[in-house]
Amino acid sequence: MESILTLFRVPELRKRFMFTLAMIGVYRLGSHIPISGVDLQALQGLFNQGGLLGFVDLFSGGALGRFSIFALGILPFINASIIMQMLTFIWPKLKELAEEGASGHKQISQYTRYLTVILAFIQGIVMSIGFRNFVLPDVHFVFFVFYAVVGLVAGSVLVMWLSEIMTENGIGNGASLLIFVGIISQLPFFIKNTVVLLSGGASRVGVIAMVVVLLVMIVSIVFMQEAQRRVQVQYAKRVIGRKMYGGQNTYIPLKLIQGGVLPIIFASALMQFPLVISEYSGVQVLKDFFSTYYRYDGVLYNGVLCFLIFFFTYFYTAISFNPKDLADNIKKHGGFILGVRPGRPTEEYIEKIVTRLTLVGASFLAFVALVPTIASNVTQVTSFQGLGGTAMLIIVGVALDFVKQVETFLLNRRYEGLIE
Amino acid sequence: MRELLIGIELLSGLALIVAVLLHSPKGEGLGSIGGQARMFNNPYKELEAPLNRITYGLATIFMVAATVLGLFF
Repeated sequence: MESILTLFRVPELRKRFMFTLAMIGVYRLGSHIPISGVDLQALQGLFNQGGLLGFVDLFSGGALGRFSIFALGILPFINASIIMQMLTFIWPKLKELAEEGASGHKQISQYTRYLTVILAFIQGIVMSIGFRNFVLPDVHFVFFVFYAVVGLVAGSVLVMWLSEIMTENGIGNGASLLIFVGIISQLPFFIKNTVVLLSGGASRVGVIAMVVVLLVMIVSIVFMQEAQRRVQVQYAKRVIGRKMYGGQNTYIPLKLIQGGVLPIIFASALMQFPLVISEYSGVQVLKDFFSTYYRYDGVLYNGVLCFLIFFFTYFYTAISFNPKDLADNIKKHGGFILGVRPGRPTEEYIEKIVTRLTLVGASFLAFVALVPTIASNVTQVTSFQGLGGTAMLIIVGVALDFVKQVETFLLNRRYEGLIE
Repeated sequence: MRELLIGIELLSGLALIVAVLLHSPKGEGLGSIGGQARMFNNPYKELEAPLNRITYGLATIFMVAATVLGLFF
């Protein structure tokens, strides 16, 4: 409660918060503006069948089901980010650029933005051709495709820009906040569906059990996201002039889940890929295959999901955490980990710890992603099925990020006060 | 009237794409490690003020044109 008040008391923070809210408003507004020329009622029918296409819709905050200008939403940007990060690993030229520091990173993010436009263009074409059955009869089809693609790409670029200026002038990471808002905006429908299910004679115990499971999950996600392993570091004493420095014990906090929400966002973004392709391509064999095997409660879907979560968690830890730098830094400042020699042995020691931590972290993430599916199968309460564990992880993770950012900001401000 | 609005939406949409791409990348996209935002520095802020205004304008025109089209046609 106290911290909510400070959000409004500090002028700079208030300004940033208001900006974030305003941009979220624009985003929600835009996701209700349709691209004209489509039979919206028929389209809604398709999405209300639920299933996996519903999940894609969930990610865009319902914008897809309305065929709005933001129907592609933030996804092309996320996919472009994934691809660029992978390429940085594989392509030597990009790797060089990444190691150049801030200016190289800038260049890479500029490439990411170009790639976003290209991806949005491809997705836009596929999508508007895929919706050919829903185009109003008096609209010329070729013209519709052209018009819709321009609208979709412009919308997607606009969303990308919104997320960028949110990151810059607001609080928190714009892109993940927009996904967060999209998921939150669909929550009322899940609650409504549950109520419908209840009045239709579903067991009360089942619903209560489901809600309890979800709550326990939220708590455990918060707990695990904050968890860290503290590695003790001993610093040597140094005498400079008449003063003595150092000589104290400190620790390095190693987070259990280094990448935060990003691995989950990446994994679930990638999960939608084969689905979108099969749905829009209109090839019946593909469609049949996916609707039989690639289901929420199917083994294949959940297996792939687990694999991707593991992959991205490790991938993210690998790029965001460099044991060599850490070991060098400790050595430079005259410190050492108790019982381990400085330099290479320290590096190996830290790497071993991080690898183990990531294994635990990734297992936890995969577990959480599976629990709602299992729970809804056991309790027969299917109304939360679209929400899934990944969506919960994203919601909680983004909220935590947001709070942390506010705290960092306040801390920064307090130190500024000390200097003045 | 309908054709005019569609024309406006198309043109403003295309211009918007160009305008956004002209901006210098802000932050490091979603790629920024750990997903944290950089709240404190941007050397290009002053330079980009006119471009910002243009982008805001284009975004508004685009969204309004699409809204009117969606509501009335």
